[in-house]
Amino acid sequence: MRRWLWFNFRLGRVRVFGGWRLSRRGQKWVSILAFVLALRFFTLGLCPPQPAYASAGVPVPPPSAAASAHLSLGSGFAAAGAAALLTPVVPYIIVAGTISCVVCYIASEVTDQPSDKPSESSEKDYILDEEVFKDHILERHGPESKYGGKGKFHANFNIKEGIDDAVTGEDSVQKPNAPDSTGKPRSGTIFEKTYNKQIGIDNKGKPAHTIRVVLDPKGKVITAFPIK
Amino acid sequence: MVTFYLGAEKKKDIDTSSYVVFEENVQSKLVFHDYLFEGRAKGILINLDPYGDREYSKKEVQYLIKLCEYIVKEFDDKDVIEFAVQLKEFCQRALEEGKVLYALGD
Repeated sequence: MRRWLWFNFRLGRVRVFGGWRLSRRGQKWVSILAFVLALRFFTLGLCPPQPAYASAGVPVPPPSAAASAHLSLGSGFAAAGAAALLTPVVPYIIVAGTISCVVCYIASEVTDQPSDKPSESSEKDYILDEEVFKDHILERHGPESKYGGKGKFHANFNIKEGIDDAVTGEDSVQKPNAPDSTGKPRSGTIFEKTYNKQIGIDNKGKPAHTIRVVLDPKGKVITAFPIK
Repeated sequence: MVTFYLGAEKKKDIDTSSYVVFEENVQSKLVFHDYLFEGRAKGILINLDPYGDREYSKKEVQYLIKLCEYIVKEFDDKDVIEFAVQLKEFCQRALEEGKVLYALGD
């Protein structure tokens, strides 16, 4: 049965598989080569090289198609390596590798579909609308704001830098949005960053050291203000 | 945290010098006892978004006055009662002076 399957598979009079076979030594070397390539692609897929700007604190886009392709190739070569250990028939080795590669790629594409709930990495890629900054943040919480009962930033505090620190900084705190009357958190996320220095006053006029930034589910800044 | 202001029909003409603060702790206490309130009360006061804005119609302001009276009657907490009394006076002022009541979040 095995002999028939591996060496004598025919369609009518045409011999499909079996004509192109490896020696025992060939099998060994092909499988070693395939496993080495698999290891290389898995490494590239799981730990992609970081772009040069990543160290400057600029948000890095999440790994996408390239990582999926690397992982798929890795899985394809791993399957081909395993197949080479089991059979000397080259077309079977190629077919096993190709099927594994395609299945892995399709699976990664399906699981990478964007969901309604933003991932942590997408929340780090925030959008600060100039209109929101001027008409909301500066007007209500800026140093020259006339709104009573609202926290206000000091004039020497760079609000935009503060927002960036709070959302992308490593030592900031991320929280779910305030709960509604059912107890469930509203959509959006809160980021807070505390400074050693005073950055403004809170809504009661007391010294504030923390900036709170609120993002909507799409990563757009809704507001930013100082709290104690 | 939400703050109540009075103003003209255009949001830009808000009088920012007089206001009533709806403190987080007061809102939390009201939310904790939300079973005491009907659905309309939740939308108008109890469940206000701390980061959103709301503009009240005349009818809603009249309803808020009744709601504040109800809160004063039902709650024992000093902070909650103080807030309800202040908001009731603010609402009455809005009706007397023909101004619009705004609830502005942070």
